[in-house]
Amino acid sequence: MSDLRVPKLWREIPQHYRLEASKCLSCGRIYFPPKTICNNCKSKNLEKTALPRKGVIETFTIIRNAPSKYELYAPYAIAIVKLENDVKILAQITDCEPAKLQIGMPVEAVIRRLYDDGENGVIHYGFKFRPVF
Amino acid sequence: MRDVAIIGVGLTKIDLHFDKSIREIFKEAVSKALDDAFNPVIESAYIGNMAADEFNNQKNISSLLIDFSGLNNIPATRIETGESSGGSALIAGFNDVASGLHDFVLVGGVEKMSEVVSTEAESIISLGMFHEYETIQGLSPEGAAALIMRLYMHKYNVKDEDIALLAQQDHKNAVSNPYAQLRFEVTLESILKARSIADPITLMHCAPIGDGAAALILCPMEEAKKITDTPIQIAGIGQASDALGLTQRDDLLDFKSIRLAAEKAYKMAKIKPEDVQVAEIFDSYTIYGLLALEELGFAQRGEAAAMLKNGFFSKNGVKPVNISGGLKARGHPIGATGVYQTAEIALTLRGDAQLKIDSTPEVGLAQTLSGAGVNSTVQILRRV
Ligand SMILES: [Zn+2]
Repeated sequence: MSDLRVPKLWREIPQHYRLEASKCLSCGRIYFPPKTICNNCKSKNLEKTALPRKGVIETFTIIRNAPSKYELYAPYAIAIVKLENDVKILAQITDCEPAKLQIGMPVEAVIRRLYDDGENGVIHYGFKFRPVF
Repeated sequence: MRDVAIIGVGLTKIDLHFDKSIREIFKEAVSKALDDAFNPVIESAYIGNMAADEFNNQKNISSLLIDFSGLNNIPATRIETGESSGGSALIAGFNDVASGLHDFVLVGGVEKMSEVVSTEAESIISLGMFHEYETIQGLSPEGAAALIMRLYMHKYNVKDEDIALLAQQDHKNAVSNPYAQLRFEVTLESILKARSIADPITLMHCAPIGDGAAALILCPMEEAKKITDTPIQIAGIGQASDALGLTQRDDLLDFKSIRLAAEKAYKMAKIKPEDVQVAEIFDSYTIYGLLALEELGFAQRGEAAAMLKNGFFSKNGVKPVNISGGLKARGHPIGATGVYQTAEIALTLRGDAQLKIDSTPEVGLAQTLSGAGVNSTVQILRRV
């Protein structure tokens, strides 16, 4: 039910692999995922922009009762990361003991396997974040 | 615009009704509501339902349910705004009567969740999140609530045991509600020590899975006065949406959709938050209940837990909240919940024995929510 078909994966590649966002040329606001209209000033004049790879954890949770596709990986950490330009991203935190996670912890983006979709034979990759020491 | 009244209320007990179909539980609620309203001729119907497609393999659910309720051929529309579907159905019914298009309108809500195992129910509820940017990262609805709860605890220096007070109060209140799913009290310790679903959220911070149907009969106030001595006016309604993705919001603790919906409803009813004497709020997770108390204007930001602790929102407190047992203990048959909440406020304002409180309130409020603040409705009812 929550499978992504392959074309849908291709379409999202710029966002999921390169953290591609869009920036409003009128007011400067940045959107991730990218938008083609600015909620702030209603301008339709937006251009692609790459997001910074570093930020801090704004809040986090440890998922113990995981959705069925992710059951194999539980427990795992998910955080909302506030990037250096204040844009926020929701992602898993990797390479870190759950007990060591803290609000305000500096993290950086890496590309990792998200899950294997056995039925469709598609391996889903995407960004995760890891602590910066 | 015409004044609109509620003249009939029908509720079914929320439970895992393995022996009944979605058609049967819906029909039971409709029949009770019709009897309560002295069986007027219904001209149209709106039904809140989030996920019959997935739970019951059924689209066109409105025609099916209306036919099996014995209401032949009337216009019947299913309304879906996620978990707030019941509230949105009420607003659709209100608009129909207020506009003058129809006089006697049925507003129903139903969800039959027990047709699937609980892990599948989880996946179905997850469809309400932003798939490509939240679900795909492995987030669950409990996880979303946990992200918000941790931030709330951090920002306002509130402990999980303070937030758990809402679940404890809900359970206490549900004992006397015959329609509630979990009619037993719980200790704070059992809430805190329950199995962790997504830290800091334990199972006991979450609403249960259940089956239920609720129905209301609406009509113009002029007609209502000829039919019943206790018409309940829908004095104000409001609805607002917000970005689906959590990261799209500037402040995660700002549940703007509740605040905006409430502002509209207060303005229409010409009242202020302090005029509300009894309320049913949407605590699908305890933290969302606390945020609702704050966005509705019942508590300052970060203060809801402290007010719960001193009994302000208890059954015989200054402003009783969730005397039904709330989502945690009355239950949360998703698309039906908003209709239950509105029905419960109507019963309390009528002084009905089943949801009575010591005071005799005239103004009550029901609030629905979808996901983590994605859509909200606020309904203000007044005894006339
Ligand atoms: Zn702009």
